[in-house]
Amino acid sequence: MTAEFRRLGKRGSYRLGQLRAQGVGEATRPVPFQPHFIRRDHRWPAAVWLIALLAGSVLIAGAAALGWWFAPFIVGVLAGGANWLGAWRARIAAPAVVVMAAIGWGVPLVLAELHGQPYAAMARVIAAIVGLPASAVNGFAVTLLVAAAQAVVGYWLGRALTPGVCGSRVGRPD
Amino acid sequence: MTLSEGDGRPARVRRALLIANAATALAVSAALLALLGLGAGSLPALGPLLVPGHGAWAWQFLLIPLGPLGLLP
Repeated sequence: MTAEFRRLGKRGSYRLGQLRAQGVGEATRPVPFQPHFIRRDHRWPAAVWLIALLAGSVLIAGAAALGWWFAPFIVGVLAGGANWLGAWRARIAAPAVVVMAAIGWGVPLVLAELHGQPYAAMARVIAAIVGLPASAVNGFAVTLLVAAAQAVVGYWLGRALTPGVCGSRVGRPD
Repeated sequence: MTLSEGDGRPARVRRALLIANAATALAVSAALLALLGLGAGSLPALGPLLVPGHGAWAWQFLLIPLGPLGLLP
């Protein structure tokens, strides 16, 4: 402190208003602020993607009519690959894929129930088979859960197989 | 889920994470499909069982006597 006090008023003791550091490592300079544009949420209008999700639900429902139980997984993989174009964030796309799968398997069940088929009784049987309390809600829930799990895992796989494209083309990654 | 350019990690680390992510996704997908398609232990194959219009949702399934099981309303 005394040595620095003696430098007061001497030529070359100051730099930009601060005492010149002598024998002491200079403090790291603050990183200058660099403004940048944030990443766009997605490409194309949201209506396009809503139609695509609806088409995915129709595909899942149609495949279910054929007995293709793995259709939610396939559509999920396609949705993950489609995100190569859409560049949706995962926290938005994943719930959307879940809803798509739930609609794909849920709507046929609801329509069948509305047409008088005893699907509520069947749902109780299914809940009992799976080991849950024999409730219709449990039967429907476990069915929709199976569809949603397939779709989410498929989406994850589709997105993992097309890495880095969304972030590098549009902006920052997730 | 997706790692890409500009995330602040070295390229080698980023590539390793991408490969690990893809490998994990593949493994989880295979495990889920095997579990749903084949079942495990006392758990039945839930895929063919729960697909709407087929399996347990088919009409024929109600031909088994449900009354003694207390499952009918």
